[in-house]
Amino acid sequence: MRVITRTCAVALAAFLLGVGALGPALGQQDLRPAFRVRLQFARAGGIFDPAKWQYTSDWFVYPNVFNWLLRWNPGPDPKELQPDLAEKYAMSSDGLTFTFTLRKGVQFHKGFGELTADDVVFSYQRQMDDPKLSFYEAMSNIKSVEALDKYTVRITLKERDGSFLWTIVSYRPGIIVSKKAVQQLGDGFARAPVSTGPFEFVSLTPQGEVIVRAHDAYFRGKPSVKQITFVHIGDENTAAAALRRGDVQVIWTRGNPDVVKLLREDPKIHTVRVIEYYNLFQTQFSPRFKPGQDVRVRRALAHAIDRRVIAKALPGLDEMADVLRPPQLFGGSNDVPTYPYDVNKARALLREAGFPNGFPAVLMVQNREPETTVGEILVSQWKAAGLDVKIDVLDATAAFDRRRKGDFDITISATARPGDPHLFFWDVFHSDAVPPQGSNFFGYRDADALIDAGRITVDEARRVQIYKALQRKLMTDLPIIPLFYRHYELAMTAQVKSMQPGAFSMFWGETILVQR
Amino acid sequence: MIPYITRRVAAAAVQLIVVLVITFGLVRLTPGDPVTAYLSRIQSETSVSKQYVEQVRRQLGVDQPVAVQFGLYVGRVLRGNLGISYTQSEPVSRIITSQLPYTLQLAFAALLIELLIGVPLGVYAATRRGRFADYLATTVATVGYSMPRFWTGMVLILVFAVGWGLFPVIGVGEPGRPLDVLHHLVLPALALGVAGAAYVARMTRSSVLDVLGEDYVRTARAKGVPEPRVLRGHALRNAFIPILSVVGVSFGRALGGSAIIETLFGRVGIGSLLVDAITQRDYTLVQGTILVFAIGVFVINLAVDLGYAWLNPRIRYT
Repeated sequence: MRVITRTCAVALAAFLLGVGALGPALGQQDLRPAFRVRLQFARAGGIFDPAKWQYTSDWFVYPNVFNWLLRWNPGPDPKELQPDLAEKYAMSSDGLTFTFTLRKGVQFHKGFGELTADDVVFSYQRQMDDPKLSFYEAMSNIKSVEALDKYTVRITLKERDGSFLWTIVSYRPGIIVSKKAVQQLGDGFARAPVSTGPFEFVSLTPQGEVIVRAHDAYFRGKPSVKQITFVHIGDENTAAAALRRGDVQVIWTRGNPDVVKLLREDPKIHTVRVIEYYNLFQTQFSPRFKPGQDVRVRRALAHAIDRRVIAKALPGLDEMADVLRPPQLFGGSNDVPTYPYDVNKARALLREAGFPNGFPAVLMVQNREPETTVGEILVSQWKAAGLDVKIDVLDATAAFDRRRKGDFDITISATARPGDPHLFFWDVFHSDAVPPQGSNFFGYRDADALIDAGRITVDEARRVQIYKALQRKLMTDLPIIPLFYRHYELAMTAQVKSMQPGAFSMFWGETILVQR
Repeated sequence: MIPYITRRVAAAAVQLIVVLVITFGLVRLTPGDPVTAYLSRIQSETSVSKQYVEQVRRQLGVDQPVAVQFGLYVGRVLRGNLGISYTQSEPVSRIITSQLPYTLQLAFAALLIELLIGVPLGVYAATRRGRFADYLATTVATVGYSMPRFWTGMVLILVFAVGWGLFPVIGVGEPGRPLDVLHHLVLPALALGVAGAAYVARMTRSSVLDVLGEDYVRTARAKGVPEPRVLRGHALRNAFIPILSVVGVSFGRALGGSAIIETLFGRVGIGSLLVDAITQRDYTLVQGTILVFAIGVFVINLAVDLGYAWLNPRIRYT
């Protein structure tokens, strides 16, 4: 009996000890789901050192791994800057000095310790010192970056820049990395980055998948997903099929109408329409294309475009652009001349410009949607106005090469510049932004003074006035014809309760809420 | 046989040099260069300085005259160095080595499907010549041959993956889990192999029909040998010799077709790698990948030629 009792006691003790040991393990079991997400829109370039950034597809992953001092608000329209690693900042009265106060206790991934002002100084300084890095040029207006103490950083500019916070601090150049990790890993940092974001980088697999795992010490709280695997799916139809089968949980589409219709009709899928108002598709004219030099011809072509036809052919593109930057964005305005559809007016303007019988022209477009469909519509509408227009469809590189050399008549191009208006207006209209520096393919040079004034003014109200005046001038001179804003369809399986769509190829994994 | 193999390898070396020259020239004849491709990727999103563009051009070595670039490239290849990828900043040989197994997996699986479907279908049609079954098999083969692989793949995805949920749509499976890899391989291999199976079926049918008309088959039948034995023992073994030559062609087609199928099924491999490399004007990667494709086709054709001797001892290599 005693033996039995002793045996039972030992067994019970062992059981309790076992449960005791197992308990924490069971309690720690991570029940959060792991998601697979379509990498937007190309194979991963594999460069995850922000200072060496080259690929949009990689940028898609960045907001999950890295932080900035300030960041754009998650969502399709970045309208405001939020505190990120800096809990507050102050600008000097002359607009040249910015002082950032860092959050305390922010932890780097993989045990690389606490973020300090040294890491911020290092992240900026390395890009200011090395011309081989991607944002060396962008950093050229920074005079100095100093750590005033462990949690305070001061950045001093050479000249005032009203766009500085949007274009540098909260944008691609302003990502903060771990100084210790960069020094320790060297070139290997690009494949094993260390930062402070909601997910820590795990690997870029030989299959081209990028895996990130929840960083539970993230200063905004634990992510609701334990792991995200970014996969490349080249074909839109395949991506939709993979989502419907549950192989992936989130995809972006380029707005292919058939795919969008299919996804919207599937009860297991929910979709969110994302319009990027800062991503403008436009027609540009070559400086060598003689008829395009006459503003009456450009206005005639603008009047000949019936945007309703485009919206009907490509649902999702019904937010047509008849202004350059809509008023819902900072610095946007619709107080500008517009060119509503009026084919008779188009013909009259052509006659006035000395082209009563039109002229021959070739519209060069890139071989992807929606450019090709929109291109075909433009050709038919310009033909109706009396022009002899043909379409030339080329792959992205060939089209870009010819745009750069001015070897085209008219083309459709896209310019995406979220955040501060200076980025867009400089890139498309400044005389310094002719290729290869920017996208001023037309070679327009009559608005430099206003564009430069917009940049160096720091008073926001004054800047708004400058940009209004600038847009009135641009829409009068019409060096480009605005067409439509980029539209994406974000589609998710029922497992994803909600998610903030990212602005400008950003995927905000931390905003995912999971359906329990 | 050794002198024969040596001659074939020497001839292949010349062919590979021709492939190398043509590829080198063709990629440079396409409009744009790696720097343009790079700029086209980023310029809709960010601005770059002239100095930066020049620096990238120097870094990639495309600021040199084409003749110099060619000389440097040939020199490197002769030393077994395929160069550094412009877009991935890694040795081309390492990139290809990491992706090649997935393409070989797919190509061999497709070849297997071609043979497993094509040969029985061809034999069945041949042994029922002029009957309904023959017309049916021939029609099926013609339809299969005419279907574009991309379309076949899409139909397979919609029916077997989305509709019935039997197979995954994308990916290559988890390495180290053979069943998972196989699960991911079925649909792409079918999409790639169906058209080839139709081709093999047509070749098999005509080859078997030829053999069935031979004197030795007639003699066997006259001696009262049962028809299945005539087929197995006399007809098929001889009919397989021309079919074997189809295998070489089929493998080449499967390798070529992998570009479309890998893209469609979101698979990695040197097919989709080549498509991306061409789009991005990654000269070194395009050249390296095509060289590997050419070597693959050469090796399989040499293996086929040597297989002749095994099947038919009358064949002598001179």
